[in-house]
Amino acid sequence: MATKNNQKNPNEERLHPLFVKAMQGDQRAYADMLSAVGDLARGYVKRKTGGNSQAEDVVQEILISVHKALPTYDPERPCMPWLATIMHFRVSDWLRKQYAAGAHPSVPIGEVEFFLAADVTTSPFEYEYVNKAIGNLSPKQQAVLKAMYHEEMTVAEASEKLDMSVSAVKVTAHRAYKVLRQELAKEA
Amino acid sequence: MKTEELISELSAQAAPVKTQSYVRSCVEALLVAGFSMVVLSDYYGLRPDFDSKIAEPLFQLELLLNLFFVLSVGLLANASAFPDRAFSPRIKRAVISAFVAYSALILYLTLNVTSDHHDHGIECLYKILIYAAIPVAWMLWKLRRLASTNPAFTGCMASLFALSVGALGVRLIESGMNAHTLIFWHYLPLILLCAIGSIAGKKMFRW
Repeated sequence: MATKNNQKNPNEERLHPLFVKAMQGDQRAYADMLSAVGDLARGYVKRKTGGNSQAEDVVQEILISVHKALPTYDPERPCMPWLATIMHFRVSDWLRKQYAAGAHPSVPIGEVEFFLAADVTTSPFEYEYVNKAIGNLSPKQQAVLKAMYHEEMTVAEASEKLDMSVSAVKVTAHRAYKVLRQELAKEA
Repeated sequence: MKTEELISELSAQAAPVKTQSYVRSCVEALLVAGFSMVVLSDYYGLRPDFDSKIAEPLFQLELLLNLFFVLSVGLLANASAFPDRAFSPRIKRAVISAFVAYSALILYLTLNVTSDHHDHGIECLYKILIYAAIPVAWMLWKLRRLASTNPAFTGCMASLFALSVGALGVRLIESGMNAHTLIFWHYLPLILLCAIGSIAGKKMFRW
């Protein structure tokens, strides 16, 4: 199937026959079609979400959407515009939810367990560990961690205090966790 | 659940898929709208001056542009529920052209045509809503079974389609033309109701 400029789209050439067979009820073709869509969606979602840990959830949402919306696809027409719209729709939906939740980020416990309020009397050594590791961070990273965990600010509040954008705060915090993990792993 | 497991589950449900035709969807919507117009116009009775009015070029133009607007919005409302047709530039251009042409005509009538001293009021709005009831119920039922990738837009267009059917129907049964109150009692409430349709669409056309 050719694009507007009559250039052959390799994804279209690969997927269109699978779509046609899948719509005829061929289970094998259906599975192949969903696998191929999944591979395509994974790359798209990774680009749009920056490799977020929830990317695979978004891919699964896209697969479910393709399954539900298949009756709206006309096999006489190209499949890529149809698929691209659904992928874009689901990714945009997910991003909207992420931005809405931005003021209260859910951070995996593993990323913060080393510097949650610990009982220093039972593990003074660990407390010194963490302090030393934090001391090795850049001033910006230290300021972000201090605002978010010591002063218990939300991401939005921290961004206002530090005069940084919300996404800059998140990226800085994420990099700080990575460095801390590496430092603490070395010490261990 | 792993993606491979999901794929196995979904492909186990594979069966021949009956394609929902876009053309058929549009035709059905227009037939329902036509049915609503015919039945309600018969119930209320055509305006007393219809025979003389229909011979006037300006009135013919008004009805034609109104009908063109209804048709183009109907096409767009249905297209918005098909992922690969949702961004059709041709249909959007048709809607914009229809809207601009119709607005220009209303503006001309407002400035140049002597008022027939018919003051439109809340009764006009009620009649528009009555005309719109069947088309809006149909669009809600039909478009929910499809796949809108912009639920708010679909809600807005579905409302606009039904309400423009209402506005057209009311022009067939109400004589007189006071362009100022027409704008206030017909078109401004329509814009407000479309905004409500957009908000409702966000919930109703989720899938």
